[in-house]
Amino acid sequence: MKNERLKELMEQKKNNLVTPLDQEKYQIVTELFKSDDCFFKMKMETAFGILDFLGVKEDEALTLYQELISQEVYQKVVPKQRLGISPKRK
Amino acid sequence: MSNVSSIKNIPIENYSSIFDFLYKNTVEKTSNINISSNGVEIVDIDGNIQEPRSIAEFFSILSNDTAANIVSGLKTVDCEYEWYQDFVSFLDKTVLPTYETSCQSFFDTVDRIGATVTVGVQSLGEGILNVGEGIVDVLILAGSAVGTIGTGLADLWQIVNGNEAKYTSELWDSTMSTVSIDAVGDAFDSLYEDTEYGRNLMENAYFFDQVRGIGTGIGQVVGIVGLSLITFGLGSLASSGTVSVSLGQTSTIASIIGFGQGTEDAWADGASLLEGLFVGGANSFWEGIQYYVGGKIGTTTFFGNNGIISSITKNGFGTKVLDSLTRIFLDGFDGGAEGIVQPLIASIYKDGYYDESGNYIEFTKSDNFFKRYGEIFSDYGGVQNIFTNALIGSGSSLLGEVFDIKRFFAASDKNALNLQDEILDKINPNLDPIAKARQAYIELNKRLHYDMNYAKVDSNTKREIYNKILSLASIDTNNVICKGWSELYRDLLIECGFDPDKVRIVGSNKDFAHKWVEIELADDSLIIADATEAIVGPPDINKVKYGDTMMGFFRVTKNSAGLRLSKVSSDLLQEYSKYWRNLDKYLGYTNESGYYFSELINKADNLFANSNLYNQLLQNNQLNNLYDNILNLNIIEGMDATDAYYYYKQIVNNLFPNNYGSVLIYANKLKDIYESLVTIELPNINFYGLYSNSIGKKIFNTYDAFNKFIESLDLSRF
Repeated sequence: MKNERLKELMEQKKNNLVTPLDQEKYQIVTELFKSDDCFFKMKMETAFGILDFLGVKEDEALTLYQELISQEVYQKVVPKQRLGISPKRK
Repeated sequence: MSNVSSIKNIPIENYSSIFDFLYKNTVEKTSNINISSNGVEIVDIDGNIQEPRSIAEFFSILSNDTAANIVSGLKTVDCEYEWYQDFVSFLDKTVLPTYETSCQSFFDTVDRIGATVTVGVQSLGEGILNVGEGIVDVLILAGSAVGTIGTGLADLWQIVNGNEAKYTSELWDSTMSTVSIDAVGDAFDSLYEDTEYGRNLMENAYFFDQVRGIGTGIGQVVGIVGLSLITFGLGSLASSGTVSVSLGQTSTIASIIGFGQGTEDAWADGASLLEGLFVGGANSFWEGIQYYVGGKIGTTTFFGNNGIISSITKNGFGTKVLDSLTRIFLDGFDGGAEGIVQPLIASIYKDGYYDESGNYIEFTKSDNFFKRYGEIFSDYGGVQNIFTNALIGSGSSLLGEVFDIKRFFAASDKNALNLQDEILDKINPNLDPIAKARQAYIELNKRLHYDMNYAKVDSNTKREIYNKILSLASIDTNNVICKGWSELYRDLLIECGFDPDKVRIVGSNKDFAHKWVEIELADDSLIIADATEAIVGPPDINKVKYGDTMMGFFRVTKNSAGLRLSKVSSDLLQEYSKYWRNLDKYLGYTNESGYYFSELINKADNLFANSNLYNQLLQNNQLNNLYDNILNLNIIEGMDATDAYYYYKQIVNNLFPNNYGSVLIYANKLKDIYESLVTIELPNINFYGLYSNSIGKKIFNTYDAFNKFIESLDLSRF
């Protein structure tokens, strides 16, 4: 995961895993973050659940999520697609 | 008398003789009509006219009289200046003699090069026709073989009746005399020896015999490959929709032709009936091996990530050239071996050799094999024959490599996706065949989409899409259907080193039939690969993008050839899919713990659902702000409508998983060109938007306004 804020949050959370459930969640998030385009593959509700787990507050959450699914990030992490074939008759 | 002149006249008196070389004198006959008291008289008149020379004519006579004319013209100019007289004298005495000689030898050389090229091209034709003659010879031999059954019975009847058995021998005498004729060779010999045109070529061409020999040899290769495509290739076209021919099939054709040619040559050289047939068999065997080896060389990748030698360079143009040069070089060895094997085959029947004076010397009983072979080897041309055949091998290979490299350049076109190199870079060349096929399957599917509009277009367009043959090196779209996907996957496997004979596109021959790929493995099991059919859930071409378990790639016994996976029970397929997990972990398709990404997402959905943060945002209606921000943003630079389409498809699916709107892509006609146009319809939040490069982004709050605008455009589906 290239987002610096998320890296920072993960580092902070790593030292704050209290329960076995926390550890399981942390492990899952670590695996998911290995894919740069993970936020494009999960539901919005799940994404906010992860941000909540990492300690992101309401005032920051929308901005951060918007950044994570922005067109700029999409361009960087998803291979360019091309339809190519010229359109056909109706 | 009135003269009606129709003579075309160019006034020449204004030009000095210096410029005479620019024009040619031609004589044109015209008529004058004289009307007199004696009646109408038509008189033919020769009119001398000067016409400007054409450029070709100009250069063709430049070395002849022209230079001399120029100098003599200069000499006629009365000029008092000493420098002028010295200059003209220099041209006349020093430059002109050398110029004429140089030009003459230059144009002689041009003529000779032209003659050489002409002989080379004609010889290609001679080689191809030789293949045709080989077919005729084989048919005659086959016919005689069948006929021998009848003549044999007839002879038996003769013997029983105490008469001479003659029918079989008469049949084969006739066969020998027909087959031994080198009709094509004799025809071309006659062309070169008996016609002025041919004699001119023979006298002027450089290395006439060698050029003819090499050209004929290459032409034969072209003929055999072409014949293979026509015979076996049409068969593959009927079954799989693509023209392809395997190494085995080409070498079979070469063997058949080799039998006819070998027999013809031996009988023409004085071999007996049985000796000739035996030589034909040996030649057939040799030609089959030679073409198989040559084909193996032609389909082997030596360098690059998937090369058999080493990864000296990454896949790229340099690697491609290295590969081509290596194949041309090795094909030279393969071809050159002909020069060693042919004398060996000839030793079956040759009972003597020609000495240096041209005398025929018969072998004696004391002459051992090496002596006999050595003399026959020399008769065949010795080392030069090896070299000539090596050139034939390399020359044929060069033809093939030129077209292969051309295909590479086609992929460098700006509209091509360059998928081939991008995918080959990801595939580990040291994997075993099953792992390699699976990795190729995954990487290809990551980059392709199923053409969802295929089902919606009219039947003519559908047929056009279905019949289009796709090539990995030159594909210009990510959207494919089953047949195109199969062609691309087969291409990719062959590039990875799979034997083309062992990778097949299968499916019914009916119109628009579903197609998939079978790979025959060394242990006689099969891999069935079908990424475009929804077997269990969405097709693998979709699933791979989400790291989901694949259901379209299975290993079965050979008895299951032709099995369509959608006909297999989903329980069985799901059970078998577990066996791929370890391999997928090794290939990096799962995480280190062996979980597919989709399994991680499912776990995350369960673990992180219904969070406090999400509920707060919902309660405070803050998610509406999010929708506005994401959906109302302009499309950034560098992102075109196609990118926008895939982007919004994913975003809308994530934002509204249970109440999915629609994201569609159209072609918008602008005068004579089309552009992509994306529409986003989200009725649940009253959001209707569209985007194209020419229109930009437009957002509507009501469906009516949106629909009215859409109808004003000239849209069609892709």
